[in-house]
Amino acid sequence: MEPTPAKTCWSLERDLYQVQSVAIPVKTYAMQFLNDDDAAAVELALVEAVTNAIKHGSINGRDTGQITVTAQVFDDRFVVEVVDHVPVLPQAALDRARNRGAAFNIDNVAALDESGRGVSLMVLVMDEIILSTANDKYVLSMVKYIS
Amino acid sequence: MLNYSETQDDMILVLEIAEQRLEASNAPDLRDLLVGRIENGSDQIVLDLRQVTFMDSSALGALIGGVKKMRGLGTLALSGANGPVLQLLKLTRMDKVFPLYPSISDAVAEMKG
Repeated sequence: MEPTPAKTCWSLERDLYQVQSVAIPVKTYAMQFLNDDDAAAVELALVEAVTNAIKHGSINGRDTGQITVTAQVFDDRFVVEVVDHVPVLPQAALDRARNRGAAFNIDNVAALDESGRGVSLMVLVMDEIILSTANDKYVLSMVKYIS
Repeated sequence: MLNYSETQDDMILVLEIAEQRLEASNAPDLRDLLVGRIENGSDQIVLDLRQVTFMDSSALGALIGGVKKMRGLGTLALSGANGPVLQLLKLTRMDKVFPLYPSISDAVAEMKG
C-alpha cells in the first residue's frame, strides 16, 4: 500500500486580515504541482472558504479559536482542507451552489446581489468539494486534479 | 484601509487601486470609496486594477455596489484587469456588467468619445 502523502499545515486566527497569510503560501505551494490557472483556482476557493468560516463562525457567536488549513499532494490531485471547530459552511449552501450550476445571472444589474457568490465560485473552480467531520472538527476538503 | 490614488481627467474620475489584493478585509473600503464618489457627483469613473493580482467575491460585491449606485445613469469602467482578476470577472460574467479596458488611457479615450 502506498504511504499517505504528508500534509503541510498552516493556522490562522479568525481575522479577515490574516486570510492572505495562508492563501499566499498555499498558492505558492500549489504552483509546484499545478499550472498557474489551477493554482489561482485553489487560492480563490481557499480564500472564499476561510472568509466564510471567519464571517459566519463569528456572527453566530461561536468564535472558537484558530482555523487550520492543510495541503496534501497525491499522484493525481492536490487537496486543500479547511478544518474548524464550527462548520466551515452549511451543507445546504453547498447543495444550493451545486444545483445552481455555472450560470451567474447578470441580466438585471439593479437586481444583482452584492454577496452570496463565494460558495458558487468554490464549486465552479474546484473539481471536488466534500464536507465531513473528523475528531470533533468540521473539515471542508477541496480537490483540484493534477493534469 | 485601502490604498489608492485619484485623478480627474475632465469629467472622468480615475481611481488607481494601489493594492495587490482586494478581498473581504478591504472590500468594504472599496465599496465606500465608490459609493462615496458617486454620491458626490462622479458619474464617469475608471477603476484601475492594474496592480491587483487577486480578487475575491467580496471585492466583486463592492464593485456591484458601485455599479448599482450608478443606477444606469453613469459609467463605472474597469481598466488594467489581468491574470486571475480578469479570469474572475469573466467567470462571473462581470465582463458583461463593467466595461473593461486594457489601460486607463484606453478607458478615458473611449469614455470621452
